[in-house]
Amino acid sequence: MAIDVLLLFKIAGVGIIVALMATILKQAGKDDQGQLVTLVGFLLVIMIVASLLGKFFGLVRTTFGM
Amino acid sequence: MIPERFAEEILALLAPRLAGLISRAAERLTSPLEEIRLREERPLHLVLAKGDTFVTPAGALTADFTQAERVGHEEVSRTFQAVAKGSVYAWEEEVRSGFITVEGGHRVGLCGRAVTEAGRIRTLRQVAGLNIRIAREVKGAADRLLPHLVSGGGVCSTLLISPPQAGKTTLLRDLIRQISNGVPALNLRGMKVGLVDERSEVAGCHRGVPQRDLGPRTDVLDGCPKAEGLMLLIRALSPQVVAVDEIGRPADGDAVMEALHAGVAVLATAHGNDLADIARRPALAMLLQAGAFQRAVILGREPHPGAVRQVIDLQREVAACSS
Amino acid sequence: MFKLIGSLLILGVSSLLGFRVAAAYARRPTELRALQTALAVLTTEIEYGATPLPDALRQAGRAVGAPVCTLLTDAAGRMESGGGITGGEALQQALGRFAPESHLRPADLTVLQALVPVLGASDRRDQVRHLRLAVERLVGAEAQAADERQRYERMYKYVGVLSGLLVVLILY
Repeated sequence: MAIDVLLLFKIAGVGIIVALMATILKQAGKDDQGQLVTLVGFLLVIMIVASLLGKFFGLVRTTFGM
Repeated sequence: MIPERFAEEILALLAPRLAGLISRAAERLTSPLEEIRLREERPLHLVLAKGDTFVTPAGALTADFTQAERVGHEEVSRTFQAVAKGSVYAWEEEVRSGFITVEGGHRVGLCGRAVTEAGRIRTLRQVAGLNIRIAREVKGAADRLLPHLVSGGGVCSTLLISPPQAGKTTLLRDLIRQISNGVPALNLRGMKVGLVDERSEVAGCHRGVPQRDLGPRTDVLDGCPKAEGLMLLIRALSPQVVAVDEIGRPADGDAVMEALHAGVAVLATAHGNDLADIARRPALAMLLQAGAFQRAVILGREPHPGAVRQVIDLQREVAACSS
Repeated sequence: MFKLIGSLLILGVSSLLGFRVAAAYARRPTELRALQTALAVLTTEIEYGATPLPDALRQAGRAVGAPVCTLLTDAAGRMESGGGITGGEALQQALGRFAPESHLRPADLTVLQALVPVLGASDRRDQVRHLRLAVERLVGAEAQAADERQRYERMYKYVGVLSGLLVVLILY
């Protein structure tokens, strides 16, 4: 669970940083880059969540002995 | 027949290709080089003391101008810029007068499209031709003449009368130099000389500094109108002798009289073949009659330019006439 | 321990990169302004002083700091070292040394290139005309550069720092 808390903080961190960058980029007029960063952030979060989900399902499997 | 310092003073100004050609051609000259004439899109032309010649692309000399190397626009432009030391705009007065005097006293005449303003030349645009006149000093040209002009420890006011191209400027220059230096053999102390060089031919000033040797006690007013210049010299520079080239106008005559009244000896030149020629011009006749000059020197072109044909003691002449 | 050093390193590098790009945006308008000042001094020297070109270039260089000062002083030096090069050629060669070190764009440099065939080659009025034209073009370029600076200087600083943080966060 401790690992997961760290991962949660990671997701939160990525989210904040990406949001900040996207805002700055959009403010400077570089909308395309802003959207790109948002997309990248999204993908990163998905990857982290996917690894989390993977672990979760693994746990479920072992719990139910499947 | 290559003049002294030819490479530094003249070749350095030319576009590189022309400099190479002329350097090679100069070695084959049989007569002293007087002028290098650059005309855009025309043959490269050299004028000598005796005759002239053209330069072939190989650096040889030829009398046939169709075989000669042609001067390009870029080369004229570059040479002009070099003459103006990279700052054409700084020579506006000179360009307006049609020539620039470079270091060494050589005079570069300019040819091109004149731009006028209110009927007067404002400047020359598109300089398309240059005439580089090579200056030559002849020290000692006045050796034989000077003894006749010295009297009582001082110099007699002298009028040099000469037809064109007879070496009067060279003679005047050497007279000034020797008087300024002093000639112990003649008991002549070095004297303060003031020169009004209206056409910048005698002293060859470059930025106001004489490029020829005029002696240590000489002051030069370069490009200054004669009458005003004489007055300036006398008022401010306390000369013992003043020199002017080519007098003839009434204003010149008045200025000479003023100089004499101030106790200054005058060396002047005038165009003419003999005294009679001079007497025909009102301003000069006035000066002769007033006894302004003590000596008159007649020059000629034969046997060589600067030959002194006659020295007339005007005081004795006048005395002879009135008796 | 190594993780800390590593993350600081990554953060440091990306921040530095970001700041560098930002600085370039800040320096361009400054250099353009310096060029304008220098050319104005040059114009005055030519128009009112009829100062020979090498001296005029040095005076103009003295009015501003590096790298524009170096450009003009270099050009002056090349003219003085002889070999009969024209003012324009001296400027051309000096520009060659100046361009890689400056923060100007090729379009800015073109304005200076336009002076090469003209410098010192014509009378006062013509020189002043060309110089004033160059200054005008530089003013326009400066306005555009100032605008870019306003938009991108802050942006690149932030992006540098934030991307560094992002990488650190993902890796560890």
